[in-house]
Amino acid sequence: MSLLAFCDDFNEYEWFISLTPELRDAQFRRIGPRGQNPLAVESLIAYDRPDVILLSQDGGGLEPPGNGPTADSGGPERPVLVLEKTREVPTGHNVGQRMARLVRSVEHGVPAIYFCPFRARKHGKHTGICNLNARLLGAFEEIWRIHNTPLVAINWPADEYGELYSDHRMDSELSSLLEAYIRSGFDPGCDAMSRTRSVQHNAFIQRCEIRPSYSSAPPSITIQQTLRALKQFNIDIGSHAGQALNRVAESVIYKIEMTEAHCRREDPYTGMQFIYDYLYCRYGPKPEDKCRNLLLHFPKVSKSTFMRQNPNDLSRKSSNWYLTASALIFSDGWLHLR
Amino acid sequence: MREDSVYYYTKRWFTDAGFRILAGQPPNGTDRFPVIEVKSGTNNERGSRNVFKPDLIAATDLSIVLVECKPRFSQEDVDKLRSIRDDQQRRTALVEELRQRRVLESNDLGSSYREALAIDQALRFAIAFEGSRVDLSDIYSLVLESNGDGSLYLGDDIISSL
Repeated sequence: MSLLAFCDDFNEYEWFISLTPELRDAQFRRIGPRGQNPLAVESLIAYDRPDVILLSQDGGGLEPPGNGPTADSGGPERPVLVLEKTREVPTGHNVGQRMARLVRSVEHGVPAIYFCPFRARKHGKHTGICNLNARLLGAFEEIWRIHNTPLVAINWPADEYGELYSDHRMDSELSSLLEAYIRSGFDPGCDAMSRTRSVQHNAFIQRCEIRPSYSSAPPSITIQQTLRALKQFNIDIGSHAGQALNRVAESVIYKIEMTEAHCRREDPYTGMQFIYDYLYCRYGPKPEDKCRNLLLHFPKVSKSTFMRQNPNDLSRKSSNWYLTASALIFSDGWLHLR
Repeated sequence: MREDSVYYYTKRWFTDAGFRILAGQPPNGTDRFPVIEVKSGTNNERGSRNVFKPDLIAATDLSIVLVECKPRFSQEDVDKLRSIRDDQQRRTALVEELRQRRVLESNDLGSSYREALAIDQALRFAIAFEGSRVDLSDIYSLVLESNGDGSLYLGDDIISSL
């Protein structure tokens, strides 16, 4: 079996292959600009670029179990893992910053691991301990269930002061999981993945017990009757699009308070939309598979300004705004997506 | 050589020379080390304005070296390092950041740097790049060859220890 590790940075590759002897011979490949990578890599970077994409060149192993498009699988270079690594605790709104690339991976049936601190110290004048936003773990559970593909958050542990470990203690849990997964022949249902799923579930429950607000929607989210929402936003219920939305009884409204002066951006909102979509709307692998509409509401931005600043251009990250919502609602109009 | 390779070989050079890596941030990734931020003034400002993040910080019990890595010699990096070196407020902010993050203690160097003054006096500044030696008398230069080997210079002199 031959392995290729696609990374943006050689240092990340060097760390990655040090995690287990199973990866020692993985060859380095740099992730190129869009359009200059193997098809398997191109598919996985369509939304955003993850830190590591591992390809197996044996062409064997298990077929991807996901329900998403798999046109890129089964070739001589099969993606077997996506890994995202950060020193930042996914807290507050930052939790969404890396979601799109992880979702893209599991949409393609490729297991994804998010290696990040669950608890660490923030420095500066307002120093203190930051804790993981547990909704991330809840969303990961749902995404795993819906796509039948592992999406795992692994903790980068910290010492008693909240400083992250930088020695072997930092990634021993990650190393164990990777080693077992590789030895299983990249079986997403291997024992190690199942155990990790259970640990992740327990971590979600425990964190919600400590902070019950994580069990429900945040203040930026409102769940209400679709009919009422359509009236509130002056959407013609008789129109084709209005009827389409009104077929679903409830809608989730995600209020995004960015202003016109600062509306040419994606992070963290386009990632947060996935978290809220999977937590409160989705039942199936396609964006249309919703038990509630997902409405992104921009009360301070006009439609023309938004569309000019954030076109649905696949060569730009702004196209991520159009990936999963049912509709975009602006200060002076709206756009039906699905 | 790309910037991430310069970072890699620079880290290797300092490690081989007996240094501990206290902090580091490769150009397109995340390393196992913390990222140290040197803010202007009090180090307590919010946001990233006027923040300097050294590519690498390496230390022994004799010196603490801030290193900027670039594929080629960069006068901008030299100017940046001089601006830190010559600004006592920034040096103080750096010392405070190193202490708050406990990076010296966690690398078994705490006993050598109990006082803030000891940290400040141990500060050194270096650039790392691939190419030919550049005559700098006040900033160290780690000049890398294409195979990753390197030599550290101060002025004309090859430096074996800091």
